[in-house]
Amino acid sequence: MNRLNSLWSRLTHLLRSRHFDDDLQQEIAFHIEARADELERSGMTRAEALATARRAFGSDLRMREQSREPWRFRWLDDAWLDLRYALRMLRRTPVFTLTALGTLALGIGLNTGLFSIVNAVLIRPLPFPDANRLVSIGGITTSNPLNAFDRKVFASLAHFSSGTVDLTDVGDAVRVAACSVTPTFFRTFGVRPQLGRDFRPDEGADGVNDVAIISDAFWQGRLGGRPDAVGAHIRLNGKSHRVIGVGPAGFSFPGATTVWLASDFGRARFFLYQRPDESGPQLGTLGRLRANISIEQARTAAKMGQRQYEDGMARLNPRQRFGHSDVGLAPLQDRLVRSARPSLLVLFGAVGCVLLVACTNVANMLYARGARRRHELAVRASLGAGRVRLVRQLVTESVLLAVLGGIVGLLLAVWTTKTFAVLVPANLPGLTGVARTNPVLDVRVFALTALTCLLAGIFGGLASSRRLTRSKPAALMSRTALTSVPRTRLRSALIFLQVAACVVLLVAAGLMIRTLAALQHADPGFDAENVVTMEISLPMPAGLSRAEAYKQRLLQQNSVLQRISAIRRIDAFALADQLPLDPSGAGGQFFAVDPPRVPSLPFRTAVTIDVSAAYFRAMGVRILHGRAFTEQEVAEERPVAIVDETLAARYWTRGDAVGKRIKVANGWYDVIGVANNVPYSGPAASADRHTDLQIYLPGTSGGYYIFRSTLAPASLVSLVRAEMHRVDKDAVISRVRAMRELLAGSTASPRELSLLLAAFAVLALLLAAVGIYGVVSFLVAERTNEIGVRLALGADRRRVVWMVLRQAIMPVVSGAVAGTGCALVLSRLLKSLLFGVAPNDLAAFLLATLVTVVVGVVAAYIPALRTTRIDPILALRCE
Amino acid sequence: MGIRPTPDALDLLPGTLHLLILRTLAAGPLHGYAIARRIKEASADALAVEEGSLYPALNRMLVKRWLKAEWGISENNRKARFYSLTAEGRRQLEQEAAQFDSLVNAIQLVLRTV
Repeated sequence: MNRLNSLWSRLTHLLRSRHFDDDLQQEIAFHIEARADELERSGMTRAEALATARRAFGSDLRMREQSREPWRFRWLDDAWLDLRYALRMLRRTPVFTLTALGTLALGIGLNTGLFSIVNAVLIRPLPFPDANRLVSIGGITTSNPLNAFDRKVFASLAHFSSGTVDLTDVGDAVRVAACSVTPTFFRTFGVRPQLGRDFRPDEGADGVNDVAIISDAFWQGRLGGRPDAVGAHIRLNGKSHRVIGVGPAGFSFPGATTVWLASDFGRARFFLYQRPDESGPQLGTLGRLRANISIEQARTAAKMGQRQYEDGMARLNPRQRFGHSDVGLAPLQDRLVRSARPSLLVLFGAVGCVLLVACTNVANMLYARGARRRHELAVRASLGAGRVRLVRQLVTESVLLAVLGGIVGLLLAVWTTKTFAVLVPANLPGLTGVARTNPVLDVRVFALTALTCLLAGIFGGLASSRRLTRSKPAALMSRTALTSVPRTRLRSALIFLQVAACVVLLVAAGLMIRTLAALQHADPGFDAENVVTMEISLPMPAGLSRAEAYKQRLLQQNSVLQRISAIRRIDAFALADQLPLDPSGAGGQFFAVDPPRVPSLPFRTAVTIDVSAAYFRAMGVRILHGRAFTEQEVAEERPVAIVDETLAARYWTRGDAVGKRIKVANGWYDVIGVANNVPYSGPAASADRHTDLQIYLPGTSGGYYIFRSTLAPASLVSLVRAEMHRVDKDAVISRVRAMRELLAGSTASPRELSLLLAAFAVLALLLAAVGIYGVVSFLVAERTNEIGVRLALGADRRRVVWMVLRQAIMPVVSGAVAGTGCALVLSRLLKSLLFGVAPNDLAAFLLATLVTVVVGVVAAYIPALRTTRIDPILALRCE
Repeated sequence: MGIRPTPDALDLLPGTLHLLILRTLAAGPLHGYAIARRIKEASADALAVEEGSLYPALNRMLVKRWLKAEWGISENNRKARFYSLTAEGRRQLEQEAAQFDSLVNAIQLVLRTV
């Protein structure tokens, strides 16, 4: 009860403490006066009485202190004192403080920023209900049979196929990304349109498929969020569609889709497995697994079903031989982040290395600082300070430093989170639009990183205080303490760790830089010099039937083409419906060949490109065998095709491809030529992805106009625009790009990664150098007396320098060796990101190790040189 | 004539200062000087409380809520701080008085018999 009472009293006192001193003062004054009154009554003069009374009262300082004592929380006051002292100490050494703060803030800021992104992209589930039940299935076409398997495994299935459409009737004509989907699409995701309604199950069949759902981004942007958007009409590729709903906020799957159209893809039912002789556009497929089915079970069931199906087909067609294909089934999140995962994880590791270097630096710095206060601590100890009290004071300084560093780090983290957000792949559903520019800072990571730094700081402070508080004060101040060789085990260990981390980072950066160089020299398959592409939209003429409008537009297009061909200084001009390296390109199509080969490989898709006759000349793609298309073949859209060399080699012996037949979509085409392979996904495509195959078909339906010309793009555009407007004033030119840009863009991702890794590596190296420099300077200062003795005894200066240097070089060299070993193991993880360089590339490793060791040695050598300037007499004298 | 320095008998039995103060205040509220004077008078000048120990002791007891303090007017019209016992203080007084008694009895027993 007593305890509680006193606790309560003291707490309330905290609020009234200001008056306490005044009250006490008044009480003392009253007491003295009362005593003086009494003395006066016994005969003294007033003045004498007062003087005597005061003398009798004695020194009131101690009494006041003791009166105040019971009211205070002792530990609080001590902590407050410690804090103020720590603050003073930090202010007195601004260089140390700023360096330590900067180091901590850097470590915390970078780590928190990057991990927030990693969390948002890789760890946090997609923002759909039960998102881990969503799977993506590959290898579907419109001609595969549905199976009892599907209903048992999937609660819902949806197919989608994306492309582009010309959207008119809403402001300027614009080409947007559109996606044909089955009516189950949104339901499979578990979302509903935020306005209007979802597709009905019957919508999508021919005749009932003029409904569309627009995306939230388009609704907010183009339509200004008008509530009457639902029910409005928009024209897609000339056909009028009714808007029945607006997609959920922030949703634009797949990619950056603007409008979804219902479709049943020409067939009433869907099939999961591919018939070997069928062909058609590849569909994306999405499924929601039933609650009691795991992904493994689904995969096994799919495989079994596929085998059964293939066996059944083999029985029905005994003469044909069918190979086996695999239904690729993977969680949707995996599929979406697959491209981003390796680079994000690598960066996360890199930032972790930087944090390691930062923390070891801070620990070392605090250690040196604590050791420097040896005398002061000895004095305090001899004045009666307990060991706990001393340690607490040292720790307070570390904690203060960590807290301040954490605050600055938090500010930095906000900025780095925004900067790292550019690494988020554009196709992630949860992070488009607003969320992408304002990714949420992950508080947990910040807390964890800040805690790590705090612990490092406390550890550093404690380590230095261990020796100091253990021994007796007298021993600390004695001479022997000053000349003994200081133990450096802890500091060496920290340097070892730093150097190892630096080597690992440098190796990673080196490998990525070499990858970048290799990519930039890789053969893109076409000649990108002086090639400009643009998209030209000729609006569909209104007021005509669909077929008529299409025919008229074709005529307009041809007249435009003729006019453009007449422009001088254009060496070649062609049309195509896809561009290499264009990330928004459509997916591949399945194809079949004649005579059919036993496919020992899984069934493949090829990119089919409608091109005009001059395409190969314009793009610089070489025809290896046979010939290119003629103008007539293009104009009449004859059933001929040109395939690329890889496809020809796989399915027919090279050279014999000419004259064979290939089936694409709904028709057989005669192969008349073989062109060189163009890696459509860019040379940076990951190794496990299939090489891109191409099938060129003659046609002028393409929307990309390709010009090979020495004209500057601006003048080219104005010339073309002038010609076009003579034919149709409403024609729109958009997306003017030089192929060189696209080529550069395809290496954007490895370039970002290399840049970041290099930056981190340099940062870590800098921090480590500063750290080593600091440790060695401190070492020299510590051993000044000993060095003075040695010099006085006649030691050679150079040997003395070497003696000091050796202490630092040992951990640097051993750290570099350990780092190289770690890097050898870890670099294997980089494999998927590398191109043209092996994970154990000798040059990169050698360079990294060399650079690290050299930097470490130089950083140690500079302060070690100071020993040459030590005057032995001065050194021995000042103690 | 100066003040005879009386040996501080309170050093002989530490902790008795609290007891004395509590007993003094049992009769009614007093200010700090009055408490010291009353103890001195009541013990026939044998116990003189040093100012240096009085106020700290008073504050300790205030924290433990055995006393409460209020500002009032003294006998010569000056502002003074008056201390008075709380219920808790009264309980403490009884307890400590009893303990003290038994302690003194025990010591006296030893002194008489051995």
